[in-house]
Amino acid sequence: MIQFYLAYQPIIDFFLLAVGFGYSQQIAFRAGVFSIATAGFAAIGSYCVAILATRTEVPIFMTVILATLLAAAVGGLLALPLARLRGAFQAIATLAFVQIILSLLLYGEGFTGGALGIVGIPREVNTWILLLVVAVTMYVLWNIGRSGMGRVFNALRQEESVASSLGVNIGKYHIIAFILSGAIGGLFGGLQSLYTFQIEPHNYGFAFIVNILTVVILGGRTTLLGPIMGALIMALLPEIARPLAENRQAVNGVILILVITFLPNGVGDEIVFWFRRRKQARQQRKRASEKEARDAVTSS
Amino acid sequence: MKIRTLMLAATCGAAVTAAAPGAHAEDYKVVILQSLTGGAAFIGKNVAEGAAMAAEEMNENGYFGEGNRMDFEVADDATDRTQTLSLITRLAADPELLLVMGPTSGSVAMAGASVANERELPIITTTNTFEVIEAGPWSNILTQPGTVTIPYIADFAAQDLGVKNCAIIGVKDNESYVALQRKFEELVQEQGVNLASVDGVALADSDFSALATKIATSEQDCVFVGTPASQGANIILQLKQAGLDPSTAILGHNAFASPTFIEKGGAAVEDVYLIGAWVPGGDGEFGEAFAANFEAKTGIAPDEWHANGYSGMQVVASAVRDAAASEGGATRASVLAALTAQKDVPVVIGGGTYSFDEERVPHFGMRVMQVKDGEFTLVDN
Amino acid sequence: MLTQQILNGLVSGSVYALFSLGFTLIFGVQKLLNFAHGATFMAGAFIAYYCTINGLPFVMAIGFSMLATGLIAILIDLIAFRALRKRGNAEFPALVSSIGVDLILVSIAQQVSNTQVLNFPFGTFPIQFYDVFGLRISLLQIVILGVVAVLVTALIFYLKKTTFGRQVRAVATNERAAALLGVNAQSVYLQTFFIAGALAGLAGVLIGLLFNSIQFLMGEPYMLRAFVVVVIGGLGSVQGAIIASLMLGVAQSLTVAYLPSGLTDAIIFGLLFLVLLVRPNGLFGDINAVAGGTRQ
Repeated sequence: MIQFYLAYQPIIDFFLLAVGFGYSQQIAFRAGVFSIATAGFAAIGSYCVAILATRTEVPIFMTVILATLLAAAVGGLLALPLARLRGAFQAIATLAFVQIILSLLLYGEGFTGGALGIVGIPREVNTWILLLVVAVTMYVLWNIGRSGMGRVFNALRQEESVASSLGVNIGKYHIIAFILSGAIGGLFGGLQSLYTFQIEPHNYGFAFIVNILTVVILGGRTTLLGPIMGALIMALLPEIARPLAENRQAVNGVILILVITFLPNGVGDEIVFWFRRRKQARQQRKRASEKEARDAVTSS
Repeated sequence: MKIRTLMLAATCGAAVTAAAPGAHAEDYKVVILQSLTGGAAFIGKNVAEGAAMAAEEMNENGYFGEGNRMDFEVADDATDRTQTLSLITRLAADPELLLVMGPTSGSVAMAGASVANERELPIITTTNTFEVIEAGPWSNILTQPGTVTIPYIADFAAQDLGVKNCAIIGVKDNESYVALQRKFEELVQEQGVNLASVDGVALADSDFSALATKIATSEQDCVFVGTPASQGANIILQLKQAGLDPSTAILGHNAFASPTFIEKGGAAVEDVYLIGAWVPGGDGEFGEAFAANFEAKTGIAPDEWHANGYSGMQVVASAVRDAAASEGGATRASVLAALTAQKDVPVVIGGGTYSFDEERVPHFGMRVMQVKDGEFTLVDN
Repeated sequence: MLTQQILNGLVSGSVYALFSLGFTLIFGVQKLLNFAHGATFMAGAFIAYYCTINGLPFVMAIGFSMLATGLIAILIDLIAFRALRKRGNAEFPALVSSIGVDLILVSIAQQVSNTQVLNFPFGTFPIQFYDVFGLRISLLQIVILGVVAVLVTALIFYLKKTTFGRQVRAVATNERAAALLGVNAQSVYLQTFFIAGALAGLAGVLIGLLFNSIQFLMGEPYMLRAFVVVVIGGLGSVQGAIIASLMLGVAQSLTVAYLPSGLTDAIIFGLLFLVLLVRPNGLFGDINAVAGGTRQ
């Protein structure tokens, strides 16, 4: 077991980081916002931590908190103009946001290190810390999902016009979703800095966006199990496909197509839905048999 | 019965005597871990091919002594940090493994360096960034950093060509190219050359029409193009098409020293100056033999990266042999110590010998070349 | 230099238009983002390249490549989109399945080309320059502008004036109603995919020729630009996409020419952001196009 952990530890750690970024992406989807700003939030968080940790005396713990707050604030600000946009327009506007962040990171060489990025970041994060933070994030999201806010998010996602006619302030909830998405993205971006020694703008580019979108869509866009399953598949794919050498990427593509074609809601969501359906069916059966019993009593 | 025992004893004896020289035979396990796929594959794949060929040759020639051989294996870092981290972690768990030649580039090499130092496994990465050396004693670099190479071309531009006003085109999104470009700017400015303009392109760009028009309509007597070979050829082609004054000197660094450069640039790259560790076709006996053998084996002429891989393996093999001869034999620690102590190893690149200095920085020299009639020719200076 | 830069921008922009038209057409009809469009574009350049070096005349290589990319696009529809579309609510799943197709195509191209950057052999197209009113323009640039203008006009005519065009618009507006009126939606989908693929393939060949560079990752930057074009132009709007492409091309070459080149992307995407703030449905989009847009 410990041998297994030692050999596969980086995969486990990257899996946990991907789950974190997945939640940042997913919270936007849950509220019906087609945002792909997570890459931008992650970049802000990781640079914030990297700069503070390498150039100032701020305690490491505080740098992560600050990164989370900064990315949350940026998320909140970003939500204001985006409130006017819908669907694919939101997606493109957030893509523009990510591209702007990336090119500023490349351009501001004196401050951000340009293409070289920032090196020599202390490695303060290990598997257990990541596991703890993922668990806390899940706990918070679980509670949000069960609260009134979670129900509003569901309503917004399914039918915005209905939610609006019921008097829901859509703008407010979109801002909340963006703040949460920013906070989670910044938090895990910061943790990533403290894990990989070195960061560069390239880490948060097109590949990052595509990867995180895949994690969430493949895993599931509404349940907490979604990003976990998605990240698991994305972490295991390269390992499973390794013997295929140069065909690896093509095989990854085939697997993505097959999984999403047969499980269009994503693996995690389909699993949860299946359990829910079973539970409902059982309750219905129970109700039906109770009713039968009642009918039998009354009719006699 | 008796006869059988006797026979058995005889066969056993024969087996023992036959195995006797083999008892000393040793396999030195080395993994060539390079980017065979992904963005850096144009470097990694070639380095791996060159290195594997060198190892095969040395095994055939009995380089490691009677019966001994290098047991090498080629693996793919996929230009991916995550995969590299897990691969090196797993490789480090194999007690037989002495050294990893790789990973290939930039952040991937840095990721590899972090694990290598943590697990005390010697690695020699293809990149030339100082950060890999600074990451710890176990991580080394194979190629010369810009501080070693760029002076060759910067001094040539400022002193031999005597340029006064230089336009710079670099790659903005790749750290090693940025570092080389900055070094060139710094060195020529120190020698009184003015920078007419500084522009950056992205590695994925191919549309340089706007940039080419801008430079072609400005005043300068020199253009420095610090990009990969095919992209650089393309930039120069578009500069010429935009009407750049033909008397402008065009310079590049060692990335241009590849057949691709001439293939892509055609007539447009005629007269371009560049530096290279590898003179195509080989310079000197060893280099020429390598070029001929490589082409015979693979059907293509070796480029800078093939030659670097081939040379790198010479250095690694020499280190392994020295370590094996040392007290205590070849261990990870002794291989590391021997590697960084290598001096004047015959190689096919640069000035023909490869040495590490006290800071573990490799030195093997650079040659200034010019494209003449579609061939790289040495410039005497 | 200003007019020269505007000309450069128009040439680049007209090729963006070819690329983006197919993308916006698929979006307009299906409401799906086809991530494999960039790979189709790349495939176009690759196929024409291998045809040319194997001795096929260049014009035939282009024709063959357009045919092949059209068929690739149809395959993409059959493999990645059709099953998802049947179940409805395909917006997000289609994103992943088209990313899957993209991975497959890019991986094939990477192995075929051995990760090298390829280029059409010199002399594939005559290199000739003309000086017109102080402007330096190449024969290739003139041909590209001409070809794009002709194709775009033909496409607009096709969509506006022919029965097929009316069917496309009917399916785009309401698939079920169109089906009730006897329109075969499947065939409309296949045809739009074919046209989109063939245009992307042609764009790939032209870009590969114009900028002397063909490589397996060449689709990626064009995908990013296609997103910008399609949104600024108004989702699903053909004319909007064309105007937006030309504007993007010109804006890009002017920022390179007059502003620090490291900031090009920041400026382009900053402008995009501003456009969206002022015109949430793009410059040429109408509200209706969006009402039927991504959210059903």
